[in-house]
Amino acid sequence: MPITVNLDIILATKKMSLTELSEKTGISIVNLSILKQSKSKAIRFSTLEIICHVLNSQPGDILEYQK
Amino acid sequence: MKTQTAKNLAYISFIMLMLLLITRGFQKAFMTILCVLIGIRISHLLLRRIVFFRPYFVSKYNIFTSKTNYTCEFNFSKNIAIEKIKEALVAGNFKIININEDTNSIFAVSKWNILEPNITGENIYIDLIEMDNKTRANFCSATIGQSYSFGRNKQNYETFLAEFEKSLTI
Repeated sequence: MPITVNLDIILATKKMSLTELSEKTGISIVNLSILKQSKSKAIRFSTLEIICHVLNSQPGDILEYQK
Repeated sequence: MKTQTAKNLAYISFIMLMLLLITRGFQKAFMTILCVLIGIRISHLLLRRIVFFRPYFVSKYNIFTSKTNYTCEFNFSKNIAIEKIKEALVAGNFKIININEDTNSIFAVSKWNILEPNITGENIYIDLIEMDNKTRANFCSATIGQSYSFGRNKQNYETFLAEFEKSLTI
């Protein structure tokens, strides 16, 4: 998949676990796992917004386009 | 295909027998058969939510139910697939009755629509097999007390798949 989700890298940088992110964002661990594995079909702006807010990062830090 | 042809022949023979009984004045025999059929239908409705009766409802020898099997593969581990299937079933207006994590099977029923009195709902049985970080799902939809599904089995599967796809938008 050309667009990958770098959630695991950001989580490691911020020293935050997936469970903690799930608690802070209100997104289920299952959905975050799917997102982390880049297996989701699409991502809502609202989801991206809350993740960016909690992780204090930009959408470009989370999503990456690979040729 | 052979089973379907045999089933159709059995129905045609049965209808002809019933017509013969009425026209020849065997009303008593006709009423007895009718009562037996109504009894079978009521018992099906009473037993449909009991997991123990699954082999009975999905048996190929049961001519009172119509079964359709589908297989699909998901790119997730079993645990994630179970959660997503649960989400898809709820969104697809199915009611989850039982989830057995030991046998990796999910049992749900479709809701009965009062506007369609000829449709009494279907039983949905999903069996999951995990292999190499992928999960294969065997989806079986069985009508209850109806020998023909009127396309409901296919519709159930399509609804389930559509809801599953939708659930992947996070």
